[in-house]
Amino acid sequence: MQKRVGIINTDAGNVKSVIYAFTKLGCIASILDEPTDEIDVLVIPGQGRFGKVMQALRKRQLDHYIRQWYFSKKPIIAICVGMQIFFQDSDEDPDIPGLGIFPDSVTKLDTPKQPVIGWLPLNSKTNLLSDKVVYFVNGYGVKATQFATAHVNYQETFTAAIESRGLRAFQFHPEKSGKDGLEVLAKCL
Amino acid sequence: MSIIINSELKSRIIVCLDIANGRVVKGVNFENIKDMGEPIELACQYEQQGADEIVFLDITATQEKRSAALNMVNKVAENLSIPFTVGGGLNNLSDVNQYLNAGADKVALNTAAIKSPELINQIADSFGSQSLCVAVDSKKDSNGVDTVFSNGAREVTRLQTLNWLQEVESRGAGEILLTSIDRDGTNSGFDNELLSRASKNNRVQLIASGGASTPSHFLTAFQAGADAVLAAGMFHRKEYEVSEVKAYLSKNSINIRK
Repeated sequence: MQKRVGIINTDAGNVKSVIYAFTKLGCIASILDEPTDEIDVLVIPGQGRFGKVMQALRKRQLDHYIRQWYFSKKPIIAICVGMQIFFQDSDEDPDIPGLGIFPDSVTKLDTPKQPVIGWLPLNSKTNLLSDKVVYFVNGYGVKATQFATAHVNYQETFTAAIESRGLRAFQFHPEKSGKDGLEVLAKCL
Repeated sequence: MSIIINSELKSRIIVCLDIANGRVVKGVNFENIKDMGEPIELACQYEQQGADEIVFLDITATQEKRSAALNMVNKVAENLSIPFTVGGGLNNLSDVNQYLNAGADKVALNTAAIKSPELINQIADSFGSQSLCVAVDSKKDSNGVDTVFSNGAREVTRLQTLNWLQEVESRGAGEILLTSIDRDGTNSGFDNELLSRASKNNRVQLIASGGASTPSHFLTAFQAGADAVLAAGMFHRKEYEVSEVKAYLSKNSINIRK
């Protein structure tokens, strides 16, 4: 049966690539403006800055919805800033709290070139992620967290993926990571 | 060559598609334009060959062709699963918004950034630095000073290249596409001396452009400090596939995505 994928509207522009990626994988993908029970997988896309995304979620009460999905162990795929909002806060917008589900903070990365733009190999022991080379676009990141399942090295080491309950979250953009990225998404469905 | 310890970031190969009237074209020193094929078809071929990114330039030369260009960007987003940048004819925030919403990952600004540098700040604030690549066309003046040119490399400006690169970075550009007009389309290799100085001067990533015709040109550009290398003609003319260039670079210890 076709999976129904709901992609949260974070008011942050382009979600087309995310929609197309799930469509390629045989899903029915739609944009979500409000909480619903009519989907199988919740996706938090990776465009925009931390504070703006949190404000957009709170405005639509989607922050509670994401929490409910998470604590009831339903499947969530979160990308880039979509992963970062699960943490306490971010150097990007220090006055706007995140969902605070994980205790760590998102910090500005001290990489040789900034922001990080490009492909990095994942260091991971999971079947899902090991040996994959994927595309990153970020100036901020989570240095370490107990929920990490992959990390990358660009002088600074940072978290590339986390897994907890039904959540699979990626600092990279699987929808922009060629074949490797689509394989990762396919296995998350 | 600068050595970065514990960096696993791949050196990128970017294929550039210059667009005119919905077709891919190629010229020498921005002149003698030839038809090279259909944009989406070519972009998909390059993704298959291992290109890390695609850049579409001059996609939007005129307002009346805007909807056709946006439609093309949308189709590109639907078909590619690697990142792509669009540039040419974007003059304000609303243009940028349209292209990002149509599915582009980044926009490239050139003359618009020279005319109104604050546009760089506005785009960085509204959409984030990562969505903005500033393209700089550089040529040596009669005294050998690297100087910025505008309007498709036709007009000289008062800006010195290295100063301008620092300014666009401090205003919020996420990366810089540096084209040597002296080298563009000449097949004589990149201006590695300029690349080397620029990469030491800037903390955003530097994409080298203009002059590549052999895999060894890519190697020397990376060794000079380029983070990514952009080429067009040698791929469109099918002299090399992206995968061949990557195999050569890999043999020569450049860390590329296989």
